[in-house]
Amino acid sequence: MATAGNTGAEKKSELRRDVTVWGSYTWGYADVGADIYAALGLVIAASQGLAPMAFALAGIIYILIGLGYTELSSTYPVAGGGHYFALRGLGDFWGFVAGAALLLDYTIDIALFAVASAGYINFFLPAVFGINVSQFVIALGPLHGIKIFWLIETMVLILSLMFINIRGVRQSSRLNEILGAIDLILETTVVLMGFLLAWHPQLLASQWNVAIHTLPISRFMYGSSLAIISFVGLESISQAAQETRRPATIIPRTSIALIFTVFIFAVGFSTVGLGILPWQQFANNISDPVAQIAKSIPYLGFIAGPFTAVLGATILLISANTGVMGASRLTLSMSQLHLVTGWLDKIHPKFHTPVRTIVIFSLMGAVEALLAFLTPSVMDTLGNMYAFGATLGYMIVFVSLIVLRYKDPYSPRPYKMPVNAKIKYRGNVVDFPLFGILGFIGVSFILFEVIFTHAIGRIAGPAWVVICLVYYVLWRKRNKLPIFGSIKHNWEQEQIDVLTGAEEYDLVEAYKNALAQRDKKVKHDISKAAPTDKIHDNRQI
Amino acid sequence: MIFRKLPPPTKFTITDKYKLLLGVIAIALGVVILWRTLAIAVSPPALMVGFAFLGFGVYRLWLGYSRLKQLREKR
Repeated sequence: MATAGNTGAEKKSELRRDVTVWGSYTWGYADVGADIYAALGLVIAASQGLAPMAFALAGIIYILIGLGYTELSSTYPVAGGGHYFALRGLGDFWGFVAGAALLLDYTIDIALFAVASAGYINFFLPAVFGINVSQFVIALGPLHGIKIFWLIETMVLILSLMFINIRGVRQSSRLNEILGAIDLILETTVVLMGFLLAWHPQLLASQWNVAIHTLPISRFMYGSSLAIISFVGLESISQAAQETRRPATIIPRTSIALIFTVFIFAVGFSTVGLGILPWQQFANNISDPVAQIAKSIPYLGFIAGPFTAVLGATILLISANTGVMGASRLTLSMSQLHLVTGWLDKIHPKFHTPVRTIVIFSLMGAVEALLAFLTPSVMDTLGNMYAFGATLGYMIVFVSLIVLRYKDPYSPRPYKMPVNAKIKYRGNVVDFPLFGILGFIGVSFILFEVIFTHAIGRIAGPAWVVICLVYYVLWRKRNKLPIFGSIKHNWEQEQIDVLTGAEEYDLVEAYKNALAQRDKKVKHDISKAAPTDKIHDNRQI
Repeated sequence: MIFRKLPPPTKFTITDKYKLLLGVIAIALGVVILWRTLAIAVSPPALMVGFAFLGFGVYRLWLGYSRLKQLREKR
């Protein structure tokens, strides 16, 4: 119970829970694991027979991103995630840019996953009501083919999430564990049974050969850049780190298991899918690709298809909900670090929830979904935007990771990205992360693909960041804060508070020892330099 | 250090059995995928997935084995 004498660290500690490795893993899986339900159809429609390669290419880069996030999240277990790492490493301005990119992702997350969830609900329309979503299409002036039924369903889902979050229904760890377990079992069953009962290597090989000879390179680039969205959600690792006791022990195991599971499922689903169905079938059913695979498995399809659709709709809705929750957590962290106004953090007097951020960002998600429905392919448009925000954010995170190794070598790193080169810097030997460089190059390449091939993403994505920057400049100017410079923080005390709050007492000790050694060395250097200075001064006199 | 050590297991749980079973299944599946693919053509995605399942299965079995070993040492 909180007492008047509690320190900040003790108060923060109350937010933390005893989450097991499994609990933490399913927490992340409920978010990242849902991505494949939305991304599979999009990527196969773009990359055709080369989809497994597109997933593998994006997946390798994602593994590097994941390892980077694991290091940073276990070193700085705070919910701010990417924007916090950028702020620590590169200063306020880049912290804001990363925050803006991630905020774009959270709002798109709300829109994309609500659309995809409605898509899986629509799987039942022909069987239950004898109707098809493509029957309800309207035209608005020059805009044709607006799927009005699907649009209404999406709006209902987003508004429901908004009201649920305002009332403060919390996504419990137990619910995540149960759903995560069911989803894992189901996905494993679909992949296993698909390979054993329905998979035709001939079909996969022939689709691969045709695509190799006919698919333009720009389509493959488009597909591989879209494939990155099947791995987005690593921010949930940071959020889990903020609310977990002993995150340095739990988080590295959790996130590495999560990274590899998602990678295997992404490559596995695309390989099994293209060995069961032609790519055109995925392109025609972009909204429920996993259910299409499950439906096609002999003996099990009649039950696996609908079950996958129900689970897909549920898990995608939970993922959309993480967008609502994530946006409010991110803006809270940004306002605490003086990057945005604190007005957004107003707590509802009755429900005790950050009502303003919930309403604003949910409505933003709804507007994005509405605008996306006016384009030829709603999922494609949202996927474009999602890929832009994610790659920009991850790029900044990689730079921060490298800079922080030099700028803050004293913070204990319970997990370090592998493959490092030892480099001497200001009297200290620092591990230079070679995989960090590789990851930065990989993410930059994906961002280049997004800008090169995404007609909407390359305009709307940068436009969002520019609008956010205009706000940032005006707000900081009005509050007489530096625009390109940074506000002074006592990071060392904050790090001690964060680690104490996380109950990582051995890390607190290690950190204090490292700081004490640094201070001793500095004192020693000064005393060594002092006699020379004296002589110098005397000479001057 | 890569991972901090978790406390040694106190019992062999259902999760451990599930992981071992999954490891065996993954190895079997990897072999089936490789065998069926190589019988037709050298398809890079199928080879990749086949080897990935094999690797995943071996890793899971190794994890299960090391947990069993820890448990035996503790006892």
